[in-house]
Amino acid sequence: MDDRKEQENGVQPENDGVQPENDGVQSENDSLQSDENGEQTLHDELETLAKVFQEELDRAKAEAKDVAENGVPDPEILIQDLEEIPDDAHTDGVTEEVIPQDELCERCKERQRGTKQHPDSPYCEECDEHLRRYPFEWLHIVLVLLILGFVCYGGYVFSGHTDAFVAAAKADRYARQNLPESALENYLNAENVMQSAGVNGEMVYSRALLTLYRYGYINALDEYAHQIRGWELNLPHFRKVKQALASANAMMATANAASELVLTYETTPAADIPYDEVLAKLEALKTTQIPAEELTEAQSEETTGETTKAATANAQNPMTYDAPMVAFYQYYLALLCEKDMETQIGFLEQIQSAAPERIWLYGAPLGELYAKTKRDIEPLCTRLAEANAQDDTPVLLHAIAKRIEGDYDGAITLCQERIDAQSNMTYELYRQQSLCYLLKGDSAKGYEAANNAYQSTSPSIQLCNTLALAASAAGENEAYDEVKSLLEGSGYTVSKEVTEYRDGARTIESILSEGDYDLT
Amino acid sequence: MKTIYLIVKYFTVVGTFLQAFFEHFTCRFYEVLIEDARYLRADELCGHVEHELIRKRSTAFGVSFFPFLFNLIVGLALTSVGAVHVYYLGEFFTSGGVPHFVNFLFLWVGISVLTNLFPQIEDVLQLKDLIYGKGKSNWAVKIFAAPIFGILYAGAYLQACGATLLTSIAFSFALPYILAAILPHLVG
Repeated sequence: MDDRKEQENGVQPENDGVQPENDGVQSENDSLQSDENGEQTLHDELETLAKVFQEELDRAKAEAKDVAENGVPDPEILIQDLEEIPDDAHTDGVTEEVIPQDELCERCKERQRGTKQHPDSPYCEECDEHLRRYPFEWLHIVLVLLILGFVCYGGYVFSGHTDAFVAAAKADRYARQNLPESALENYLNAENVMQSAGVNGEMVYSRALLTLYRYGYINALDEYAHQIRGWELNLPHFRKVKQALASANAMMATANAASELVLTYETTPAADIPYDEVLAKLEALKTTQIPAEELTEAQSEETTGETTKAATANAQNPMTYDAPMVAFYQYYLALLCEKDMETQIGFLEQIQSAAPERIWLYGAPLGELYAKTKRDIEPLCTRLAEANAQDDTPVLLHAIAKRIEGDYDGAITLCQERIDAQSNMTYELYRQQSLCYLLKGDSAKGYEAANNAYQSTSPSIQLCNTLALAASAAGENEAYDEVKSLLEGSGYTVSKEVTEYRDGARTIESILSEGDYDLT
Repeated sequence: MKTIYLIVKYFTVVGTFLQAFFEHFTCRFYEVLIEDARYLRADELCGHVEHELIRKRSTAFGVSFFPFLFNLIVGLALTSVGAVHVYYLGEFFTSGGVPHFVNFLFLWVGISVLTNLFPQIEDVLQLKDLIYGKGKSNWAVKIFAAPIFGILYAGAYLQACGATLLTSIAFSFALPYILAAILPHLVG
C-alpha cells in the first residue's frame, strides 16, 4: 500500500535510477559469496558493503530533502527506507513490470485487472473469483434461519386454527348467500371450534352478531355481544356492531313499552279495545326519549361484564323509541281491532319506507295483505327471497294469492313442492292446501291436510280453527271436539266463523272468499 | 422520493433484509459478480446487492425472478397467518386478555416481506433489454415471459417509490377472503 502511495506521489520514476546501483551491490555480494577465505573476511566485506550502502542511502535522503526544500526534482533519486522495500522485491535479479494505476484491480489494488473470461473486468482473477462467490455473513444466515423458523411456526399455528377459519368462512359464505339458518348454524359451530382452540375471534363474533341483527334475531345478540370488549365497540372496525346493538336495544325497549300498551288487549273483543286512545299513546312513543334505565334494562338482561358497561354507556346517549317498531305495534293494534286492510297496510308501509332493511318485520304480513287486496305481490316476494333465500314466505304468499284468485290446483301444487322439499313452513303450507281443498269441495283431503299441519307443529289458534272447520266439513266430530277442548283449555274458543258454519249460517266460500279470506 | 423509499425500506426491515439475502443467494447461484453486499444501505440499493451488469438473459431473469418468488412464498405464508388471525378471526387478544402480539408480528413481518418483492429498476431494465431488445429473443419467449416480466417491471417501479407498502397492506386485507373462498373447498 505504501508503495502505491509513493507511486501515486510521483516518486515512482526514481526507482529506475537506483536500480543499477542495486545490481552493483548484488555483484559484489556474489563475489564475496564465492570467496572462501574465511568468515572474518566475509564479515569485513559485509561491513564494508553495509557502510557503502548506508552512505548511498544517506546521500539519497539528503538530496531528497534538498529537493523537497528547494523544489528542484531529481529523477535519479529514490527515497525509500530499507524497511519499505518488500522482501521479495528484485530477487534473483528479475525486475517486475510496474502496473499503471488505472490497470490495477479495483478491489485488491495490487494485481492486474481483467480475467481470462472477462478481460474488461475491473477485478483481477482472484478477486473476480472471490466476488462471484461473495460470502454470506454468519449473522445473516442466522437471521434468515430465524425468519424461516418463524414461517414454520406460522404454518403450525395456522394449521391448528384451520378448522375455526373454515367454519367461520362457511358461515360467512352462507350469510353472503342470504342463507341465515345455515349461516347461524355455522357461526355456532365456529364459536365452538374457536373456544376449543382457545381463539377469541372477535371479528367472527361481530359478523355473527350482525347476521343475527340483519334477520331480526335481536334477542339473541347478547350471545355474541359479550365476547367483544366494551371499549372496543368505539373502534372503527366495530362501528357497525355498536350501531346494531344500539338499534337492537332501542327496538327491544320499544317492544317492551308498546307491548304494555297493546298486548293487554289481545284477548279483548275488538269492539271493546280503545283503538284511538292506544293508537295515540303508541304514536306519542315515536317522539319520546327512552328512559336510560329502561334502555339499560333492555340491553343488559342477559349481558355481563364489559358489554354491560358499553350498553350503559350507550344508554347515556339520548335515544327515542324506535319508530318502525312502534308502527308494527300500531299495525298489530289495527289487526286486533279488526280494522280494514288498508289501515293495516298503511302501518306496515310506514315500516317499509322508514326501515326497508327490516323486511323480516313487515314482509310477511304486508305480502299477505297485498295478496288479500289483490295487489301485485311480486316485487315484495322478490325482495323477501333476496333477503332470505331459506324463507318460504314468498311461496306461501304466492299460494295465498293463487287461492284468492281461485287457482286452487295451482296453489295446492305450489305448496306440495315446498312440502316435499321439507320446508320449514310445512304446517302453513298444509293449512293453505287444506283451505284450497275445502274451497274445491274436497272435505276429506281438506281435513287430511289440516290434520297434517296440526301434527307437524305446535298448533296456532288459526290452525286449530282451520282443523275445526275442516273436521266439521268432513264430519270428523271427534277431531272437532278435540280441537275445541284444546282451545278452551287454553282460554280460547272456536272462532265465530266455524261455529256459524256448523250452524249453517255461513258457507266455506263465504268464509274463505270474502272479507279476510281466512279464519281468525 | 428516496426518503420515502428508505423510510419504507427501514419500516419493512425484515422484508428488506430477506430480499437482499435472496438476491445475494441467487447471484451466488448464478455466479454473478457481487460488488457490494451490504443489505441495509442508506441509498437506493437498500435491500439489494450491487452486482455486475448481467449480460445473459436466463441469469438476468433468475436474478430478478427468484428473489421475488422466494419473498412471495415467505410473505404469503406469514401474511396469511397474520391476516387470518387479525383481520378475519379478530384474535386481537389472548385468552388471558393480553394483546396477541404474535399475531400482529406475523402480520407485520408478512407485509414487510410482501413489500419487498421486486428487483431494482436497473435489473428489470436490463432484463427488458435482454428479452425485448431487438433480435434478442424469439416471439415465444417474449410472450411467455410477458406476464412475469410485466409484474416485475411494474413492481420495481412501485417499489422504487415505496408504493408496495400500500399494495401489500391492501393485499393483506384481501388475502383472508381469498383463502376463505378456497380453503373450505380444500378442507371439506
